[in-house]
Amino acid sequence: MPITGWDDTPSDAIAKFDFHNTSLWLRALARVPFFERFAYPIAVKRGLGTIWFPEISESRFEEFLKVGWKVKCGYPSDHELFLQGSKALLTKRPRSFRKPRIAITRLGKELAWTKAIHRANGTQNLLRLESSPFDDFKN
Amino acid sequence: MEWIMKRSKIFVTAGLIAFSGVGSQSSAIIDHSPKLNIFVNRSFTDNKINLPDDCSGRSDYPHKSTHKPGRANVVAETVCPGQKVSIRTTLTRPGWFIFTESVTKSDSSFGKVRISVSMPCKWKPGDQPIGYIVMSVHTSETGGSAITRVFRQLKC
Repeated sequence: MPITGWDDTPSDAIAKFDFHNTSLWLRALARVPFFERFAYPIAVKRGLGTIWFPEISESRFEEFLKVGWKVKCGYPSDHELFLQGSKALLTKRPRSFRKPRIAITRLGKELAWTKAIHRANGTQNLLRLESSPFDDFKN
Repeated sequence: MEWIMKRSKIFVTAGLIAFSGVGSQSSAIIDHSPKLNIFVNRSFTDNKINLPDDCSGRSDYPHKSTHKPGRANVVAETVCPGQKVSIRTTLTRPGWFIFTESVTKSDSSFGKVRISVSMPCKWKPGDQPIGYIVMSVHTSETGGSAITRVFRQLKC
């Protein structure tokens, strides 16, 4: 049986979780191997999960809204893509890329890699401030 | 002895400054300045010397290919108007030990380069979704570079 937020995301959708603004115990739970999966349904219930569906999708949005997802249409904004490390501005002073240390959980891996990407691109300050050169296009 | 007295005076003075708030006055002045803008400007004026504002790189989310069913596909691009740009993208499906599979492609062009990397699907009904990692290195002729990465789980 699929667990909400853990493995129930449809293949055509993109899901993101914002564990930053939640209680310490939930963040801690999301960093415990195996038990991490139980943090995700709680995060969804608390409105920390955002899901993007393509404009043409077979999925039923209402079911996701009902359980607490923030449902959006289309693609994450450039601001969000920048913060997660999938969009970047070219820099003349790149730093050598260092693979993150061993991270076991899904959240741990995501945070470690995001940090490593921003460190290499010299944009750590922006990540810390949750700001980006694409702020104007925030959702 | 005199030397010890001198040293202790220095420590006491430093301690008094720290507790009396002399230091905090200067930080209070800094607090009034627009903090966010300082950080934003510094990080970008320092890093982007001689690079136009729209020199960027992007790795899209991997997805199930519609053109070639049964394949996981990803598109990545580097844009820098007026310059030769290049890209190297790797699509990886992590696995145990030697079972990690990856495909790497690279290309270069003038102004904008777009690349598509794909690999055959492996997922079977009943399995957990499989994680795919995309990592790209974007470079420009004038020495600009950036790394982008994206992770997504797919039933593919």
